[in-house]
Amino acid sequence: MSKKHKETIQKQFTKTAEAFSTFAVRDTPEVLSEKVEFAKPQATDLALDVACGPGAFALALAPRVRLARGVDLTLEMLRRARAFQAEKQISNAAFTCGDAEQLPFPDGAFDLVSCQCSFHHMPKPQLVLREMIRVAKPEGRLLVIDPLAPESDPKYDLHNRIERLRDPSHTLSLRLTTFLRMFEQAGLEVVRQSLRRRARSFNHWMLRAGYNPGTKRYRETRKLLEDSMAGDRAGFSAQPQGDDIQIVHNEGMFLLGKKAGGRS
Amino acid sequence: MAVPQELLDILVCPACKAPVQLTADGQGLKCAQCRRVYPIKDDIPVMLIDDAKVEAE
Repeated sequence: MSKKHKETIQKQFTKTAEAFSTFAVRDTPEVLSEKVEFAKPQATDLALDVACGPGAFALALAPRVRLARGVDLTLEMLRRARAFQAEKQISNAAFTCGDAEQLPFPDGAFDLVSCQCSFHHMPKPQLVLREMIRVAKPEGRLLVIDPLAPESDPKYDLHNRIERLRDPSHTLSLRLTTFLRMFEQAGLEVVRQSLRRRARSFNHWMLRAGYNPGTKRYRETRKLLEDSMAGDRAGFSAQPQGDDIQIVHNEGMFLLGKKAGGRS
Repeated sequence: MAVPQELLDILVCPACKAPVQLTADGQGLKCAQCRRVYPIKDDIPVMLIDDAKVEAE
């Protein structure tokens, strides 16, 4: 990842740390719990959540595993994670500032390595996946969760344009077919796969990026989304809802294992 | 110094993957191989290569 893109990510997530972690939590407790169950955590697991943000997933996982660690590029997010950890009185979690492309952990250290809703920020997600594979034990599992882009080219382009207008640190939402090809090329097998429709409020989504309805960025993003609604040209399945708009992210959840004899 | 010991035990230098050790002043983690020192801020180890300083010895 270029230094410039890293700085963009750090800037975006330092700016939005409060909104992201306090006002506008992405996942409800039910969704968070569904994701934890999907990972099939074991009481003996050493778990690592890559690009952990304010630590919601690592802290939800902690009571189900031996130790949950979180690593993120943005220190401010980790300060939030530590505050949540203290609030929840969770002792078996720890947080480190680090780069997902160069994880500060040895080879084969973890039973479960997760990365959720972060691949779309990464210019080279295959490098992150390679690092996740490196730090996972040979029999370890990987969990990747990310919003999926539409398969058709015009929808794909407009979908990502709207995402990037809302958040400059958004690089690219990938298609389901791209994810599956990337896993195959990395020597991974899909153990479990689930596609979920996550309906969201547009206003809430914008607030999480740091924009309320009075801002220029909010108006521009809303206009582009509204223009796409006829014929669902951006694949957000957007529907008016009073003053707000309901949008849908199609989220892919993948539990992966290393293929026997595959790359380690 | 509140970085949990179990976390320190498993951290390695992101550049050369060698183990790191707590510095004498407890404010950083030093790589035994490349001598980079990674700062600890608010008890959070900052294991970013760009934020590390290389010590003379």
